[in-house]
Amino acid sequence: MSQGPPPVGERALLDALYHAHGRRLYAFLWARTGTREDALDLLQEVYLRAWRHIGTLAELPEERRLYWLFACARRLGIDHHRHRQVVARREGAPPADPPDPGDGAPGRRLEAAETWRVLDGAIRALPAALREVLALSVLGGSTSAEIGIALGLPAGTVRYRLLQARRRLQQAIAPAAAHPGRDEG
Amino acid sequence: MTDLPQQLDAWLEEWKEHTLPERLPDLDAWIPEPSPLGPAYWEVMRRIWTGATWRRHLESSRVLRDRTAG
Repeated sequence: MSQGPPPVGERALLDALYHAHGRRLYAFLWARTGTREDALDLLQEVYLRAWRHIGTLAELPEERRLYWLFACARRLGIDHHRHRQVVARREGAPPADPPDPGDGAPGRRLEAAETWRVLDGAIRALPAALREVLALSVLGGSTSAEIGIALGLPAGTVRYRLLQARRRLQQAIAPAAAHPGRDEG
Repeated sequence: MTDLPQQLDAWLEEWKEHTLPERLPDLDAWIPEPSPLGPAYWEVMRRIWTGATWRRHLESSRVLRDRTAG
């Protein structure tokens, strides 16, 4: 059996799917995994699977392609979560990683440290259903309609979940927001 | 005085900058070229390697190929 390169049209389709949906899939996977590295690893796996099934994807309408990619990401997220639970039980460690503050500029990192701690903790504490729509909206830059297509939910349900997520976050940040000098000293 | 919804928007913007990678990796770094050993080679390797190892291997394979071609 030989494996030739995929036809140009198929590779172009894969590129188009990556440019159109890569960021929102990353957002979804971050919401599932909680770390940048794990989200990128799973994003990579999603597109490797898409590459293997590019012929199937080529025959689907655009909305079904988006749903296919998210269904794949959801399965990988579930497998990843189960794997981490097993590892955590085996090693006696908590399943969640500490927040990754990224590589921001040093000055800004100090200034934003408290903001980060409070808000990131509150986001991670959200129920998964709320965290996913929030991540898709904020990180993925997706509209409620797009999130609805990706997750198989009515847009009204997405808007309701976003509202709930924002209410919970506002409650969480209220004490810190009331003390703007928190980062001094 | 900033109200809470506006404050939340500002904080979420800050959070987004820290949480999103500056740019997503190039797709070429993830998709292997056909192996002379056949498709099963990549299937097996992908199951063995973590994502980071996979990306490093693909990168070194391409460097080697380019050097050979050059």
